[in-house]
Amino acid sequence: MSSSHESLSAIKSELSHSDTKRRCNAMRKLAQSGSNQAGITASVIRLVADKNEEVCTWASEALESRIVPSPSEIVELIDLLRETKDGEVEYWTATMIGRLGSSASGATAVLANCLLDSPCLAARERAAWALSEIGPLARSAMNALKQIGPEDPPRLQRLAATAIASVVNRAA
Amino acid sequence: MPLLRIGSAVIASRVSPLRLIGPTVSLVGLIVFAYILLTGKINLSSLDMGTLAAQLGSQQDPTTAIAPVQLDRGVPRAEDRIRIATFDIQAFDAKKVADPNVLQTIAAILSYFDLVAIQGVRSPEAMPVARVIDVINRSGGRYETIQSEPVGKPGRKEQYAFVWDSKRVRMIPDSNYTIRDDADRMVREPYVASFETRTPSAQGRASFRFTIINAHIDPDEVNSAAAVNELSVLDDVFVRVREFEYTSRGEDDFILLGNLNVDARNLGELGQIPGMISIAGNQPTSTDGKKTVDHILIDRSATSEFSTRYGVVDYQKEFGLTPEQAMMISDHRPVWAEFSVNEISAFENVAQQPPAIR
Repeated sequence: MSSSHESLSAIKSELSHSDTKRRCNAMRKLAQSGSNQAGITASVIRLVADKNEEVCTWASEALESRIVPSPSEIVELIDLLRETKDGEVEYWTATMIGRLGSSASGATAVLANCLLDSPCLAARERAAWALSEIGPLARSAMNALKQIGPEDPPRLQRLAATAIASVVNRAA
Repeated sequence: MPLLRIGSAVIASRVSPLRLIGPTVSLVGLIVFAYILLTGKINLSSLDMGTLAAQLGSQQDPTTAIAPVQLDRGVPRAEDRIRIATFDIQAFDAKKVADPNVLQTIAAILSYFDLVAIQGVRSPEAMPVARVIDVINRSGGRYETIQSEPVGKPGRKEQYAFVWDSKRVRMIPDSNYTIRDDADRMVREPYVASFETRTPSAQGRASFRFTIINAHIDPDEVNSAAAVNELSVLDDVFVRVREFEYTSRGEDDFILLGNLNVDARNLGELGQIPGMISIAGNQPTSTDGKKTVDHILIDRSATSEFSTRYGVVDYQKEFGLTPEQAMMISDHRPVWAEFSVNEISAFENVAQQPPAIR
């Protein structure tokens, strides 16, 4: 237990290191590794807003194809989505929450807020998608989903409609 | 340009909301110029794969000239067949090709094929692709490329590219376009282009002419249980591109390829198009050999030119790389298939799925 804990701490420490080169190397290594490392999802998401472009690139690469969040990370992800003002961070946090499916039901409220209030369209779309992945347990987001109307972009409308159907149909 | 505008108008009326836009930037002139400048200055016979493998293990000064590579992996290509490949080169940007070892390995891999559809280019000015082609052409090749405009969401945009051996294949002029997606149904709209083989006219048979649809599907939009599934859009793309190209150019052979982020069992509506097969099926295509996500799909009842030879290149093994060195190239392996250089009527021979060649 202690060795994996130490290794997790070491990775997190490198990912948040003040030296850009070390952050970048750690991020690239992670994106190019063949396996998923649990427990670092929020640390990686924060790096999509890094001031170094290469760090951002590798963070997005890792998030797209490598990172599989674990249910134990949900509280950290909820806090991150609630606190961030960065559209990219919102987008990836909503995506990671969506990947958790019904076990992310605790994130329904922050996803609904992101859906309605985020200035980043891609993040709003991913919030709608995540709610549909949560399914019936996201019932409390129904009002927010219904506020997406014909004046909204077509993809967002479609995703909101899909989420409503997912909440209703799977609940039925 | 006028041809593309006409093309857009035609398909707009037939396939809304998936319509065509273009054109994209061609690098052909630049590459030909580089070729003229550089050809003939390199002694290819002094090089072999052992040299390349040795170089891969050492760090080079990035300011020194990049050494040429052995083309075709030393195995001459069959005159009567062409190799078409798909290769997702993860985060293919300027930084990646700044490493001479990575640059040379990618060049060596691409030179094994007559035509490669690339996903993952992260450079609107096409610099990484141009640099790889420069290495191939310095080594005696004559490759050309064309690249799509950036597609995807802000902050995560990438380009597609086609790279081809101009001695064996030519692109049909102005045949390239990005699928227009006004309803925003896909994260990265596919990129389309048509090609034909360059075959000696004495053979009396028409050159194989085909259209390729190059796709990179978002991994979060392929869940078969979810209502939002890009594979259910991609089958519409295939059908409508086929309809458009057949109507406007008489084209009857279509190859859909790329990183689809699912294995062959989960192709959804795309896999339900009559006659559609994934040529390499469930051969692992991730660099670590654990996942299948890259495919070459054809309608086997229409594309009889498929020779039944195909494979997945394990370049870690081929070039004697460590797992870390291999992952610096990409987290994907190229998938390839061979096709006749001549048109074959769909009634002459129905392509069958054969055993793999690796």
